[in-house]
Order: sequence, then structure tokens, then C-alpha cells
Amino acid sequence: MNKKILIIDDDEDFVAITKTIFESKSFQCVSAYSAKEGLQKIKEENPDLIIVDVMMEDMTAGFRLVNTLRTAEEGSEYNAYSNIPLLMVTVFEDVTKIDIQKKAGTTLLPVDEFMRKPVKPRELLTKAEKMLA
Amino acid sequence: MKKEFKILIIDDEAAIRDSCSQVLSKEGYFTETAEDGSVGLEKAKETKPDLVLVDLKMPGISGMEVLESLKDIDPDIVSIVITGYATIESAVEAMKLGAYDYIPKPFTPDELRLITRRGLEKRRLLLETSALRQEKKQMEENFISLVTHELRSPLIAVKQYFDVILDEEISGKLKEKQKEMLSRASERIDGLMKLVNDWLQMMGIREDEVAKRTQAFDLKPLLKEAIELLKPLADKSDVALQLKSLDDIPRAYGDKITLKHVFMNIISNGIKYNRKEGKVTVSLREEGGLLAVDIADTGMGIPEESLPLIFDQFYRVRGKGTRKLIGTGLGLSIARKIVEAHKGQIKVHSTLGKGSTFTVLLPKAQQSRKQNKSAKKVHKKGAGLNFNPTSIKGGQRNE
Repeated sequence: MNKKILIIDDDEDFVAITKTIFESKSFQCVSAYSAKEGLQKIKEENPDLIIVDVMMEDMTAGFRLVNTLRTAEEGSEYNAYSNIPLLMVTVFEDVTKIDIQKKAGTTLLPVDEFMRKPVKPRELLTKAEKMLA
Repeated sequence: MKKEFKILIIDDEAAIRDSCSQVLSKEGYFTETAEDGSVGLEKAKETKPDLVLVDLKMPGISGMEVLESLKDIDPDIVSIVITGYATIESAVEAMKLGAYDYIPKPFTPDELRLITRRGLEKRRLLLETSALRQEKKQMEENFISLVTHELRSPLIAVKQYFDVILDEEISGKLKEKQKEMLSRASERIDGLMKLVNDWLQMMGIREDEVAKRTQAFDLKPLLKEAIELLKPLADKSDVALQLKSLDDIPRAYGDKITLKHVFMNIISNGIKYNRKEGKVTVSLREEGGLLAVDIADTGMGIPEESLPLIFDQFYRVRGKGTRKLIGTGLGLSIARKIVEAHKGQIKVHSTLGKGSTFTVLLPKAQQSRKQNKSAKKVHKKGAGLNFNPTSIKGGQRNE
């Protein structure tokens, strides 16, 4: 079975590009264009890896999605998905004055990897393959 | 709608307090009284009055001290001094401390009404100015985040498409000519992205933000770090990097994040505009009570007529040596803006064909605090002497 990757981003171009990159390596891709739709798709598709943007419906929609997943306790509808590997992407840079890259993997930003856009196709593939291994 | 103004009367003489309060209440103002300076300041903190009448001669805290502390509570507070000894000297002294006007004892109710009305008119203008300033700041901040998202997102999307097309393993084989043109297009997008980032950074540098992060620190490790980060670029350009410093150098006082950016910018310029097998020497020394960092390169140098312009936004030296280098013309103006936010200075000395030396002067740890304080006082004095409404404009422009 080919691994399934869920791409959640309100930027249609980013979704299309990311799909092209992963499909070239025969990954199966599904997409969502908002955090809300993303949560729905997680339950429907049960992906092997999630790529999620930060700013969608609002400035921090992506952060909230990540928290919903990671803090889902037993009995919660997301509990079964709380350990899916997460890769976060964002265009944000200096404006926030916080180096989020370093925060990846901590309780503050409980994702496995963090990348700034534009992401390099090769780097994205390497990271994703490692996370899926 | 008419705003209800609050007036605080601080005077040790009960008769003055009561009569002032009576006259001003009848005018429709909300009044409060205090019998000495410390009670007055307490009440000022609580009620945030628009105007304060202060007696200069009181037991306990003097009127002059009250004036100074009032400005800390609200810099836009309007204070009027009541003085029994109608001496010009004490009135002038009070004005210097930020009082708006003075009224000599004894005074008539009409005189009090007139001077209060004028004081409150001034207060209204100050409040309007401050609201406008706040609004402007808000707009600037919103604009920055809007530009960040709206301008960078499409650029990033374009860049991503190029990256994917140019990756032949993903998108399939390209013709040599296509590849060449697409690569060049991709580089131009990089340049544009850099420009947007630099410009956003420029908008983002604010003196208050820098001040918040300011601390005492050693410059040498920071310079070392900047040099290390630029080593790959230097190696690629075949330029040697060197750091020279005396062992016993006092600590600097500043914001490490933005200063690192300054040094990295100047050093990378030194590398970019250098010759093959050239070098960039960074040295740390003291100069006239300040710390000086010299960044000397062995590059092409800057033509004399360009020297006064290189710190201007978007200015780039044109010549056959610089044509191929991608740059935004913002690097040095950002550097200067940061250094000036530190109350420092940036200088350049250059000889055509031999190289350029940039010198960054920064305050030392101990000294800088004192300097900032005295600078603040001078500013205060200046503000206190603004009597007429037209001078508000001048102050605004200085912000």
C-alpha cells in the first residue's frame, strides 16, 4: 500500500505543488483547504503523514489544529489520530520575532518537523520519507 | 459630544483649594483636591486628571518634583503652576519641567477660568495628537502583516513552481535552453523575495522594540558568530575572514539580534565586493568612550561621489564590478537605521581600488545607560517649552 499524505493549506498553489512533488514518488495525496476541513479529512482518510500550514482561516488556525490533535485524550474523536507525524509549513518569518524552527518538537509546537516556505522539493521529500519510515 | 474634563488642585492652603474647586465646578469640570504633593500624586494616579493646578511652595514634596512625577503618570497631562512669589525665575523653572503655564497669587476667578480654558484646549490637542499617533502605529503594524502575507505568498508560490519544474526527477527532462531561462527567472524571483524581506525588515525596526531587547553583552563572541555564519560565502568567493580584538574590551549595550544583522550585512558586503584572494578584517577597539568595530575589505572601493549616498534606501553603486551582483540597495540603510536606534554611529572610509572600511560605533554597557537618561531629560525640557499649539506639529514629525 502506498503511504497517504494529507496536505492542509488554504493556498491552492501550495497544495498543487506539494501534490506534484509527492505523486512523482507515488505517494497517495489528499488535500484540505482549511483547518476545519483538515480535521474532517483526518477522520475520513486516516493519513500516514500530515502537512499543515499555520495561517489559514485566521493567523493561528494551523497551531490550533496541531494542538487539537496532539492533546486529544482517550474518548475524544481525534484520539486515534493523535500520533500521526506532523510537518508544519509557513511563510512567516521575522514578523513574529520567534524562531519557531527551534520550537518544533516541544510542547509549545508539538510537530515533528517545521519548514519555511518556499520549501525545497528535495528537502521536503527527504523529510517526509524519514518521517514515514 | 463635550468631554468632561477632570481637574486636580494641589495646594496646601485650604482657602485656595476650595475657591478654585468652586469656580471650576461651576464651569462644568470635575474637580478634586489634594493638600500636599504626595496625596496629589496618589490622586493623579487614580483619577488620571486632564489638568493639574500645582502650588509651587508646599510642605513635603515640592511643586517642582510633583511636576516631574506628573509627566511620568501621563506625558500629555497639562499642569499649571500656582505661585505665591510671582518671580519670573521660578515660573521659568516650572515651565522647563513641563508646566504649561503659571498663575500668580492672588488671582481672580476670571483669570483662573481663562487660564484653565486655555490649558484644557492644549490638553484636547495633545489627546488628539496622541490618538492620531496611536492610529498611525496601528496602521503601520497592520500594513506590515498585510504586506507580509499578501506580497510574499504569491512570490513563494511562483518560486515553488520554478523549483518543481526545475527538478527534473519530479517534472521530467527540460531542454537546455528552457532550463537556462527558467533558472534565471527563478533567480530574479529570489531577488524580489529578498527585496520584500529587506523592506519589511526596514519597516519593522523600531526604536522602542530595540530598546526592549537592549542589554549588556560582549561584542567579540557576536562578531565571531557573524564571521562563522559567513564562512561558506567567503570560501566560495575565495576571501579570507579575520577577527582582531584586544582581550580587555568593555561590554557593549545593545540588542544582539539586530546588531548581528548589522555586522553580517557589512561583512557580507565586504566579501561580495572584494577581489579574489582578498580579505575582510574585523577589528574591535575603543574610540572616544565608545566601542568601535572596523570592517575592512580589500575590494574595489567606493567612488568618492557615491560615499554620501550609500546609506540611502535603494542606492546601489553602479559599475562594471557590481553589475552582476544581486542586491536590493537596502542593506546599508537597514544597518544605519539599527545603529542609530542604538544611539550609535556608522562611518565609512574608502580608497578606490584598495578597499573600504566601515566603522560601527556603539555605546559601552555602563556609560550608555547614563547617556540615555540625560538624552531623555533634554528631550523633556524641550517638550516643556512648547507653548503654542503649532509646536505640537514639530514634535510629531520628530517621532
